[in-house]
Amino acid sequence: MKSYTILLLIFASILLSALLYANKSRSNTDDIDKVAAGLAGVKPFLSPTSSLSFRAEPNDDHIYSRVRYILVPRYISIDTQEHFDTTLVIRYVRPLDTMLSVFIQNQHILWQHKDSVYSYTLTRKP
Amino acid sequence: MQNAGRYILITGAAIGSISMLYFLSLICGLPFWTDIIIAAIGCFYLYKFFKPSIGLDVPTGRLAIAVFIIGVVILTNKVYYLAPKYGLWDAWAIWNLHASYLADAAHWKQMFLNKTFGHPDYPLALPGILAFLRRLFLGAIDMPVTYAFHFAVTLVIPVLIYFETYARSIFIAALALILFATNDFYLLQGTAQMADTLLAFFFLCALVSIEHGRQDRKMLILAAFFLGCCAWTKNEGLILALIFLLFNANILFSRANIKYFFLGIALPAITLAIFKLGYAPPNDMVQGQGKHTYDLLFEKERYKLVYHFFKTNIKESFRDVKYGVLIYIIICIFRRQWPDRRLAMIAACLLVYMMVYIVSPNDLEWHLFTSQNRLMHQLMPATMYILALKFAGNPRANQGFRVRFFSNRSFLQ
Repeated sequence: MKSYTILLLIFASILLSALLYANKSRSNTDDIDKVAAGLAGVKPFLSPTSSLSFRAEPNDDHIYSRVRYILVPRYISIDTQEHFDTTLVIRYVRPLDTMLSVFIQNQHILWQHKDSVYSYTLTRKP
Repeated sequence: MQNAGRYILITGAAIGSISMLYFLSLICGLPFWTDIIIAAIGCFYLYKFFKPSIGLDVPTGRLAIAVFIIGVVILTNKVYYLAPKYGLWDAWAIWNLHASYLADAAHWKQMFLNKTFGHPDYPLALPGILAFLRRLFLGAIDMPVTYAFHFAVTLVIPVLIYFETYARSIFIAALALILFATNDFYLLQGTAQMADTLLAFFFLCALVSIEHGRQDRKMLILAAFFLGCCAWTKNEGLILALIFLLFNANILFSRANIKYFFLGIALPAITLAIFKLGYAPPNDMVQGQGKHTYDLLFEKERYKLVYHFFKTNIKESFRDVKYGVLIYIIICIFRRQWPDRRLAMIAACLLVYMMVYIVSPNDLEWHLFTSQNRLMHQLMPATMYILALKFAGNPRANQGFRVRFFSNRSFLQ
């Protein structure tokens, strides 16, 4: 068997595997998909060069990293030392963090969306 | 050398080159169509340069082809359902994130602002090639393209080992291929969409290239290039490259060969230097070192913990390699031979990796839990390749284990 035939077999298996993966992915919903769906409407409000602060409930790296991945190439800062005029707030639909509620009340709301788990709010300093 | 193996090496070199040229073109602000033309011309010359002088097709018997097809089918059938949709944590939080930035030619530099959990100091071989491929497919099928790339790398590692050894021993080659194709840990890591498997592939390619360097000095260019690719893939790739150079200095730095070494290493070294000096922030591990580093070296508990994790990882994920190495060492003892120098090189890489943990400024348990098995995974294909070569023996020299244990000529025809 010629090497080209072997390479063709390799290429065919890559193609087949990619198709199987794409088919499987279509029916599987990941946490990233859920957050991406929740944030779908915010993109028109944020230019690719924008920088914004990020606050969340629960305040962990998981949701922050997901949001950053979804909103590439915007710069999203979780650093409390960095202050930007615009802030993206993600919290539970039934919020537990009252400080975050107070924060939102004192801001000008640009965009808001809710899904079954989270409420997404884009705010600007008044 | 078998031609299929040679084409895999050329493909590996093309992956490394495209990723470097893509990064350099982003810096220069070139439009994407010029990247495509440069990549096409580059690949053509890479093929022309390495095609005529390297190896010939070894006659491939029906059994060899049947084993190859069985191995590929098993692997293809298993991988896609093991693969997480967006890869594991580091995949989307680091590697795919960087790829997404690099795919945006106008705003890619914003990647370097992500200092919190973003690791913008990580080299860009994987994000570079992924960004290139995603743009080539017009950004319409980013995740399938990303998956297909990782699957390809996961597939060609055992295939390369197979075609490097089947002419010596079809039994050993088949065993290696099937062990890879049925190793869930290897397959999961391969499609976890992180850079470890790509690093493992480049390191393996460097080993294969230098193996053929005696017959064809052009292969030394490839060996040096792949070492550069290792450093361009992950920070620890630099450690692998330096240890490789140390163990092969007599070949690569000999008066006759040094020009080939510099030819091969030039593009990766320049690209990496531009990235590290011009763009990347300091590495957190390096920055975290200080006066306390010296004290960490003498904390016995840290060594115990590193060893405990190492032992557990070997038991859970690298049992085949463990038994392979043990059998090889026992045979060496019986034959009163020193183990192969390349295995000593792998052991040195492993030792340095473990020492990095000893001086790690991070929480040691967390650091070991999140990364030690991946570092071991980076060295696994190279170890399997060396073991396969040793067990298969050298047909030209008519010596090695093959003569005593396995003879395969009858299987090949």
